Amino acid sequence: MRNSKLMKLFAILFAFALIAAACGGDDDDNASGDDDGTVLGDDADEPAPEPEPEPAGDDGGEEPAPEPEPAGDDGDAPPPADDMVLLSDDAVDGAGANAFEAGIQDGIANPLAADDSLDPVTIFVVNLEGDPGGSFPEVSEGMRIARDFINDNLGGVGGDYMTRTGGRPLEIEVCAHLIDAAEAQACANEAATSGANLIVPGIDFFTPLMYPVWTGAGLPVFEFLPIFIADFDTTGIFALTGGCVAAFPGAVQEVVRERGHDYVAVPYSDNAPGQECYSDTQERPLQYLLNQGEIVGFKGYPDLPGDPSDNDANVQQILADIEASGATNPAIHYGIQASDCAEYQDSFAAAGNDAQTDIKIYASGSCVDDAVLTSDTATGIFFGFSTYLPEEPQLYSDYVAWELNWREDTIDNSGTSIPKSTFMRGGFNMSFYVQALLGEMIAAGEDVDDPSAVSNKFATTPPHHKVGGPPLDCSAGIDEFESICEFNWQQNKWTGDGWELDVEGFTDGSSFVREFSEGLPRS
Amino acid sequence: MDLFLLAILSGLGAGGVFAMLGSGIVSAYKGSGVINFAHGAVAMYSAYTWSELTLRGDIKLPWFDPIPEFGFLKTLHLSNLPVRISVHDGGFQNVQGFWGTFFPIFFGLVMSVLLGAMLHFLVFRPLRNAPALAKVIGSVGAMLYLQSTAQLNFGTSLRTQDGFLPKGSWVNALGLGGTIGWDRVWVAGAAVIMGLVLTAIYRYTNFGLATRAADENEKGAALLGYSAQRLALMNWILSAVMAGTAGILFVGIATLNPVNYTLFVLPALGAALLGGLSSVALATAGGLALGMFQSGMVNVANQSWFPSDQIPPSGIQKVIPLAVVVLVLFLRGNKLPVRGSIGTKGQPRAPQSNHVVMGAMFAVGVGLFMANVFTTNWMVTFTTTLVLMLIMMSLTVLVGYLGQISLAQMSIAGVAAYAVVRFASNGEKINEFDAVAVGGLDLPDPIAATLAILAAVVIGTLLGLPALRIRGVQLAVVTITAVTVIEEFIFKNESVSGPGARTNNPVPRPSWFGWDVGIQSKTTFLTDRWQFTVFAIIAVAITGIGVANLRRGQTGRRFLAVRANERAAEASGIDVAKTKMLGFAISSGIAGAGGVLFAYKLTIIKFDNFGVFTGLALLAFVYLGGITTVYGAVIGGLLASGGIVNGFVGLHFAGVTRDYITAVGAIGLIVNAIITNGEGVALLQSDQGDHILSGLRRKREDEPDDPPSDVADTNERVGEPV
Repeated sequence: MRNSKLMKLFAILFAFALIAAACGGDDDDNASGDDDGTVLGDDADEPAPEPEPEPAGDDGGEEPAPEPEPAGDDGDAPPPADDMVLLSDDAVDGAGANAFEAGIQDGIANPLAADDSLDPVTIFVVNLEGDPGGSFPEVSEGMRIARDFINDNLGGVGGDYMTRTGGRPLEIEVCAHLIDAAEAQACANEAATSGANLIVPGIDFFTPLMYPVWTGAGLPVFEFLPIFIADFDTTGIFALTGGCVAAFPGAVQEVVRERGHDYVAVPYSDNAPGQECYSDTQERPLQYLLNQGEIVGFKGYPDLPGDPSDNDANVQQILADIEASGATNPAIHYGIQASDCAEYQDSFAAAGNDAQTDIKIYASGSCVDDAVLTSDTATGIFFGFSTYLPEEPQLYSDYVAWELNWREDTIDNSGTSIPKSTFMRGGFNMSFYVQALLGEMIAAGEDVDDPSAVSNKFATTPPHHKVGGPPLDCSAGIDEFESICEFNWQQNKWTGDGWELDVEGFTDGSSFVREFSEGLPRS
Repeated sequence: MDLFLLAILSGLGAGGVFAMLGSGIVSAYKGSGVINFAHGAVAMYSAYTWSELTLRGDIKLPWFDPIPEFGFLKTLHLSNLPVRISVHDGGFQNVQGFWGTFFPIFFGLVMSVLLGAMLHFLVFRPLRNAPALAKVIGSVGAMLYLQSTAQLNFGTSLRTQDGFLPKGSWVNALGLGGTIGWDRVWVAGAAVIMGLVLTAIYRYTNFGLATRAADENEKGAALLGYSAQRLALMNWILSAVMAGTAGILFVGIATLNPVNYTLFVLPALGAALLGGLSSVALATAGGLALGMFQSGMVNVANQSWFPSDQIPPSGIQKVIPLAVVVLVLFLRGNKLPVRGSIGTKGQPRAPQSNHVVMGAMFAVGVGLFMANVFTTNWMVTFTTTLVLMLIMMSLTVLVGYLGQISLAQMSIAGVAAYAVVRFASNGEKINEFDAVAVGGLDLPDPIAATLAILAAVVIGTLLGLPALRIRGVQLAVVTITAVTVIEEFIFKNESVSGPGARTNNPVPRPSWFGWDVGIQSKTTFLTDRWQFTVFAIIAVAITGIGVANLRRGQTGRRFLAVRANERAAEASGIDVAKTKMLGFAISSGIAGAGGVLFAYKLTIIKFDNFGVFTGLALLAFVYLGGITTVYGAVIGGLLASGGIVNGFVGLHFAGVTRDYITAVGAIGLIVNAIITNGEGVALLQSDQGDHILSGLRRKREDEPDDPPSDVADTNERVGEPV
């Protein structure tokens, strides 16, 4: 009897263990993958495979620049020290590139710590973490790695290396939640009342639920990856990446206008983000091009994410429809993401289609991972990017190569247990972009604690330097995509053992978005 | 026509996997009478083992380090339980030839054997005499455990690998003009061979004969000298090996992650049911047919005549085969084998509640106090708790009182949530950035809510129809299938749920009789208005009183009689069919009310708010709280994901990964199933309270004519918690 009661008590204890099952921690350090199949529309960054980068950044900037002239609010760099060789060019790499490069070089040689006596500048991150259906701790981890460098080496936010004056420390607060609407709602409230200077939705499937809380209160929001129409088109919200808006119209433009394909088959994900991305950023531009007579047809094929039973049949259908279309130069454009790309690639190969020699296949950068690239079936596929390829720095200018190598080096040396990935690099880029803009505000005497001033800064900054990619310009919004900053796009071909850059280089993707959204407005 | 046949042929690979998994489910059922919801998870863990050996040369044992390294524990440097065994540095991918292929497969299958044995010894053997619900909970606990342990040991990243099967193509397959990958054909071939081998084992070996004997009559087999438990162990191992083989073979075709492989259990259950839970051969054929049929439906859904506006293409692929299974189950319900076991533990106690109104008033008082104390995110947590309590009360009625196992209550709640949006919407956008404007009847909110609850009652009652012919774990299978059917044909169907059906569905701001009960403040824009919280408290209190009184009344007693023994209930004049339907209707009404409240709370709903795992979690938490009492639902709501206790405890577990806690919690769920038999924390707690009180009373009174203590104890237990 006593034994039984003890056992029952034991059972209660165990029962309470489940209590915490969905709480977890904000610091979920569970190893996560290089990518995840549930996210849509990532044009965000670079592909995942990481060759060991050359140690970089330690060969320059031996001494601090001595001239105490603060950076202007438009990102003008202070005159560099005589012996500091700067590779960047603000006209090419975006406003603030010179200042950034000089700051990094100096920060490596003569680290300047943030002034802990000042109030921190806080970024509040709301992110999906710990759910097997979608977990992206690498986003917040990338932001933390950048934060550590900023606070330890660059003097925080608004620090001035020339006067050796530390600025406000950068803090990253994270509300991590599962794929659970109620948890997301709690995070939205927590973010709104946190007093943070900026709210960053990481990769999140619940942003439409959260935006009314933040925009109603006029809080500044800088999102990581737009995947819903609410992400594309909400006043007062800006995005670091184009998400679906870059990945899909960018590819459509490339496929039809640059490579002359006259028929496009689009397998896309049959889930909420997949549906919105397809209807707004694939079906609409393709319908527009069809109306313009630039293609003879297109067709979408919904794919059940994670369900292998429909892949082969969809592929058979796609190939049959292409054959029946009478098109002379058809193409396949993936609206599917990550692991689904790999499965489709396998299915296309099983069905006898070689992307190298048969019907061409175009995919977004989120389809790139080790498994895809190590498979022979990936050879010949064109992958789209709005950022630079980190594993091929030699393909770019000296400055970009230096910047990419420095970033890889910093992440590698951070001691993080989470595998380096596209999304981690994106988080890293995010922190530096925010630090640069808020730093410019402080230098210009603006109040970074004023939400409307911060929002205004994001809305009015001209093409500005962004780590890892071409300059970001959020000042010229497109009517139906006002949250999306101007973006450039290129489709690079995987040759089987390396990348072949798009011969056109980066092309303007925003103009086409403006064109089709005006020609075929959202109904 | 050729293309349709080609599409069917393209489903060979998936069909082969469903066939192997289905056969494994039959095998486990023959051996132990358990339908194993963790079967897909076994396939997943075995496939990860193969993958880990191939990539890194490691074996990760199916447990986790029990001593988390955080806080002060880090400083103790305790020796931890070994998890990783390094077999070959750099992984077997670097080993050319036969051994590079053989070792990962061999160890993957060894892992299957280990998992089968663990399932038997640690979960289902202790539950051998437990009621069906406890076995369902045991298998759900095993599934959650394996899933979270896989995440801990292998990470959450998706793994795409080339498998070891030949990758060539079958050009002009069967003269249909298309090309099929040979690896798909190999998977299907393996399924057929394994099905034949398993069939031969059951038909021609002593072990097979003994298993069949025990399946039909465990007592009889025991009298003949067969150990039912030894037979069960062997069958669990066979079943796990089938699962492991399916998982390992499929890695080269489908991306591996902890969720998708676990969910393969759904079509596999369909295959097993097509095999009548007794025939491996039919289960194999059924699995192949399901996979090929699903694949063929892709072609049908792509035809120009297909009404894709009315029926989502994914719906026809997923639902039609499963609907056939449900139909088969319904028609053959009485013919499905019900295992006779040596003894069965009684149903969990369902004491009637005294002082219902007092209890409710106290609960409302506490609720109002909390509503006053909490703000911002804590208010959101509190309202989540209230909504979950309400939906869990539907399980108290249906599972706790009536004994009908339903895994679809969250879907029923979803029906009401989607319905209230349609009934209340007026075709205008609610937020400027909404993707859609939902057209609807623009009805006043109380009427819209009432109609939405009625819609839930109708769907829930329809869902109860199979319960007239089947019961126990088979009903659980039907209801888990219904989750997919409801999702595909109602939630994702634009002709039913409006243009937001397949994406974000905005909910109109509710106002009841001029009282704005919307959750979002118009001044702070936070989703923490006290008016909504009070509205939710009133809804939960009224429902709680109703459910408690239901148990006290004649209807409740009829429910319990049906739960205890349907034949005896019928003999005593109870109309069992009517009682069951009434139970499903009441329960669906409660779930519907919860769904309406959930929609009001979230302001935007999506179909995945009401998915399979959400429903399983709901049952798991109310089971922990106590499935037979309103108090248990209250505790379940507090404990559940997003609930208040959860939030508070989370503050103190910030350094531990969520998967670790889930794995520990899953063990807790199994232990609870074994020990409390579904009475959960609620009755356990009151038992302990009674024990202390009776001890104090004995000391104080100490009179010679006191009744024996355990008699007093028993008498007091009857009328406990509210």
